[in-house]
Amino acid sequence: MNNIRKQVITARNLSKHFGQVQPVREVNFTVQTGEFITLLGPSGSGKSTLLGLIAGLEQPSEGSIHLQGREITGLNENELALFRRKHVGFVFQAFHLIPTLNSLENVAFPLYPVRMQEKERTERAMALLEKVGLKDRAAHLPARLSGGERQRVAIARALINEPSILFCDEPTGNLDSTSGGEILDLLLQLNQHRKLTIFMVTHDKEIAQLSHRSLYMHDGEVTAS
Amino acid sequence: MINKKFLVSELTGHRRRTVVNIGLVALVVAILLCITMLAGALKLAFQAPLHDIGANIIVQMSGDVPEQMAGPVLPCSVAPITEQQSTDIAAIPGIRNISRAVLFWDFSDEMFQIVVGLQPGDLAGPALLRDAVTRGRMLTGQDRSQALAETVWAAEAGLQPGDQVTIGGRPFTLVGLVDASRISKIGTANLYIPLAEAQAIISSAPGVAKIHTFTPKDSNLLFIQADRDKVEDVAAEIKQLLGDKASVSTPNSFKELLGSLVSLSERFSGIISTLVFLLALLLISRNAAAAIRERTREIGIMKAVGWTGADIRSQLFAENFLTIMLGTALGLLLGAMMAWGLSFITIAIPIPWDMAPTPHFLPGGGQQLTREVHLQMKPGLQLLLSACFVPLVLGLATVWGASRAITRLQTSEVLRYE
Repeated sequence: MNNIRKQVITARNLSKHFGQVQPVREVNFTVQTGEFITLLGPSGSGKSTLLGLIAGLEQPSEGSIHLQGREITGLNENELALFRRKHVGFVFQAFHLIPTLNSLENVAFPLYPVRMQEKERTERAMALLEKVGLKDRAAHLPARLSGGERQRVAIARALINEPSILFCDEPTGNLDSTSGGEILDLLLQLNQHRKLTIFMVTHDKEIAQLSHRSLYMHDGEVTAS
Repeated sequence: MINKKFLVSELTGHRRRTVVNIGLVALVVAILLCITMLAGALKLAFQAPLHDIGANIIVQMSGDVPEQMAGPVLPCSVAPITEQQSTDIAAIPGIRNISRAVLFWDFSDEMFQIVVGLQPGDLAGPALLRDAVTRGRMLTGQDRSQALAETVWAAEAGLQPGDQVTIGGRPFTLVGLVDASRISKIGTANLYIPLAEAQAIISSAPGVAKIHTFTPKDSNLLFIQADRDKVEDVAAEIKQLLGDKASVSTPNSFKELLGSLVSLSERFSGIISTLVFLLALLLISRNAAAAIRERTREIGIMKAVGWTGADIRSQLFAENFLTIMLGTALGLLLGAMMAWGLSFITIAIPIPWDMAPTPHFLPGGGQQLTREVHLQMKPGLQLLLSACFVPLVLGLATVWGASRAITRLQTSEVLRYE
């Protein structure tokens, strides 16, 4: 809870329309650097859409989003990609690993388009795999890893660019309770030791209790924080 | 920036997809090559009989049947062509060269012989026998009472160089033996003599004079070299000049003799090739687009972790470039093997009787002469370039377009793709 320095995410009057459907309505909130925020709400309440909007994966219909002090609302797809590469990490419920790459290569994957020595890239990826406890699984393809291991690889991949914000979309949703607990511990460690800002969408109220603050979503609106 | 590790892992990791993509391109290239080469080979095959004799048009006139088979006579398929007619034909645009010859039958009490009069220096026609001398020498421009004999006929008749023969009642000395089958089956004879001698014999032959007017400058066979693209036009003009009795043979004449099926397939080979080509392009294009669609979610991951549209397109472009290049190389190899197999096929091109007339009452006189032609499956440079570059350009254009469309979508939309 210490070391809260400045606003890292600011959403103002954020709305999203899909025709007549409006999954996100007039959302306003801010997140401080180093905070661990959970976004709770029933299925279909608009949580994932809101996550997509604030992470720059999707353009809002109305309103604005500032990440790291920069307004990302008007950026085009390429500018958004470059912004994500530099400042943002993602952990998805479905892991989204590249099936043909081994763990080490998956971790290094975001750096593939970046001009750098292969050795440096590998060293950085290996250091992260070690951090998530999968050094001995470096050469394994995702198909040979357990769900928890895959998610740890995905977390290592999300950290390879040394992001300041980590967006997690139900990262424990596909895992058993033991693996889910391990993943949560890892994320808490990252938040506490690296002061990484984490914005997590979850159904799990127990996880919410471990976070600094929770946002509740219902019918597209953030009803409480 | 293209990442080689990712490139290789995608190609080897999705082995089935890679093999199918390479195989499809290979199959398309191979079929395209084979069909086009086959069409070209058939076209060449039809040209073979005339090509053998150095001409692409042969002109004859039909006339009356000799009243009596005695002494020198002209077969009904080679009536006289006057010197004036030859001169008029030579003036037709598109004709590069004309070689004249006189073919006649010579009957005596004991024997019958087919005789051709030729000009030894000619560029086409029987003068090409200079390349088929098996013993002795070829006739020269200075020869008058000298003759060549066809090897097999000479052997049957027990003749050899130095022996005397009588043609149209005149004595000739054999100076060489020639294997006429080596050059052509058109206008073949048992004996070959200088053109002037043949003209002299025929112009004074009573059997000829009864039904024809033949002056010592006339001939009855013209071997014409015309510009390849003008052959049919020139042939039509000659026919118009000489009238209904003219028989003007071109490569098309041989095609027609082969029957409607071959003629039809040759005529439509261009259409078939075009259809196959378009179908191939469609297949390659659809396959390339499907390969990109299949990877939509992967593209979403790339975008989510910070790959730009250009990064993604370059990577997909490189993967498909490699796939199509490998497919093209394999297709060329496959096409070459198929072409090699097809090159063993021979087709028999029939030679019309009037081009090598032999009296029907003689043994073998009514038999259909044929020229066996091996299909020459030769790819042209244009075909090779098309086979190499068209699938590549089309495949890559499709990949570029499809990946551009996907990378322009919002990342969350691409990630949601099922």
